[in-house]
Amino acid sequence: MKPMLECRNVSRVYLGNVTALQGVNLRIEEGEYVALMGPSGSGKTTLVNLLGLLDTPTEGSVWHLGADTGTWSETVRSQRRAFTISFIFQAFHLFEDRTVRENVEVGLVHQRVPPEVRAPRVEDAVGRVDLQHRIDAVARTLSGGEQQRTAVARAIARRPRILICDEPVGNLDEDNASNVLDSIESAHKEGLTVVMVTHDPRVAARSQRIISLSPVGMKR
Amino acid sequence: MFDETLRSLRERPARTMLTALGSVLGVATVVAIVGLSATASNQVSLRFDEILSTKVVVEPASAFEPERLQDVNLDEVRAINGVNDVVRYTTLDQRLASLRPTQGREVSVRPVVVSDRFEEAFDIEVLKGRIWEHDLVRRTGGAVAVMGETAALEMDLGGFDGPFQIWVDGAPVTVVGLIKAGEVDERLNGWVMMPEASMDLEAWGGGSTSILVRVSPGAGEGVAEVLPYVLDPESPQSFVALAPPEPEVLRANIESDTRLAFLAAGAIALGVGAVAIASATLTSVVERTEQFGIRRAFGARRSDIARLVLMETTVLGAAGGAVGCLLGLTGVLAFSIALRWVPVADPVLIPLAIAIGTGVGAFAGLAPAIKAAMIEPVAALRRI
Repeated sequence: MKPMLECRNVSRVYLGNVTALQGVNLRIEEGEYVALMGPSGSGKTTLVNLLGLLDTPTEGSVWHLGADTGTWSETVRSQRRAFTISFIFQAFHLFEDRTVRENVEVGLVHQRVPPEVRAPRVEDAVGRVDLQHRIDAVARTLSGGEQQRTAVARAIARRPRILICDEPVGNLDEDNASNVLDSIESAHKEGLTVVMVTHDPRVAARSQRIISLSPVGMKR
Repeated sequence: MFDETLRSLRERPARTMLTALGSVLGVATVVAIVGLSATASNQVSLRFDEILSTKVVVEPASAFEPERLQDVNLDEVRAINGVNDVVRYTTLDQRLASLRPTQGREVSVRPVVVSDRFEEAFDIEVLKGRIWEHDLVRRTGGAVAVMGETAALEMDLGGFDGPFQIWVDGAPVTVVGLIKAGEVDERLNGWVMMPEASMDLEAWGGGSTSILVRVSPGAGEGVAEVLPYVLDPESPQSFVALAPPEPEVLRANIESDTRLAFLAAGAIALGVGAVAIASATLTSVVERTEQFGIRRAFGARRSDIARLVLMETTVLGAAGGAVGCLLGLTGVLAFSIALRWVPVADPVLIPLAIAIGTGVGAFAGLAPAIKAAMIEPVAALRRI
């Protein structure tokens, strides 16, 4: 069976001489929940950017469901991101002047989901992160935990196949972190492939497999 | 995508309004300029029509007979139906005039010999002193004159406080008043006018004689037609009577000239408006780099981002055009009310203004749209 995500001897060098990743090989199967761990500078974020088609490797290749993404045009990569991948970032990256509802809806706009279909999907996603009571609140008035739950709702409302989370609970207290991780776990149980970047062993422990990165490449 | 555009614009109302200001001011300026030029042209043409339609000038047909009109009977002209005033005037060559008989500062002036009641026909205003008394001049034959205000200024006679003597080519002339020409013939301001009754034209070397006939509005063409026959039934071809031009032709000429100049100014205003929108939108694109990064991460193509920014500036341009049109028309109305003019504005100005605003917005959005489309998601999301 073809893996959902695969890296073959992937390297990423910035500005000609700063090596962020070198010779990384990995395989993530469909429906897996994988945690990427490693010290600062080990290239965790660089790796998930490559897996999420936000960036391209300087060497090696990234494969999605058996297809070499290096052969895809910018438009195809955008389409893949639109219909297959969702992201949750440590810094939330919400539209601060929009409501929870509007923020979640932004995720659907570029999938060309018709407006009449968006509303029930938004409400369903917001309900799954327990934010119905704040659905019309403007993002900048939310607490950190509520903002990240909004970001989770935005990600899962898109019904992606891959969820890439880059330190999603790095800015949250324990209770909020637990809520967010519960939401991600529940999405995984519905079949989503989850790639979680974290430096926290307790967060990583909730995954099925931990992949450790060192500054020279991947260990396990 | 359109609802996303509206949401983006609603996100920061102050920023949106400031951005639209470029279009509002540009279009308002254009509408005001076009409206005011139409109003002013209409007013100018009305005024010109009023004067020109009451003015017929008769001149000798041949340049070799400049004195051809000197002996005609003006009373016969006055008797023509529709004629209100008549004046004959003979312009002499430039002469040197001074305030002293000898060794004074000499100024070049143009003496013009005029018939009785010239002040009525030329519609002049007496600034200081008076017009000579026609009967007295006829009896005494004294050399008197009135001067136009420009000629008086050249001779340093601004402080005129009563009759005084000047010397024209060495001959004494008493100036009894200063006048300001009406719109009928502004050349009078530079002339020194002397009465026919006291002048020996031959002694002054003769000059070119014309007749100005003031007629009732609408009578110009008819009067011009019969005038040569009245002046000399046996030789009407000796005279040329210049009738007033067709008012519509005159108005069209004035309007096209003024509009062209005003439209050039309007185009500059629109250019400034476009630059203002482009600059505000470029700033806004930089501020929203993170947002565009997120959109790209969630699958927006570069063209989607460019379209979003272009739609924003186009919508702002259109809305600004509508508001600007309203402001411009209000300005025209206020100006016209203040000057008691008749406001003139073509109704096509409203859709045209909105179309211009839309065009300016779309054009101004090009550079920001390209900049936004070039944002790389990784770089944008790394900023935070």
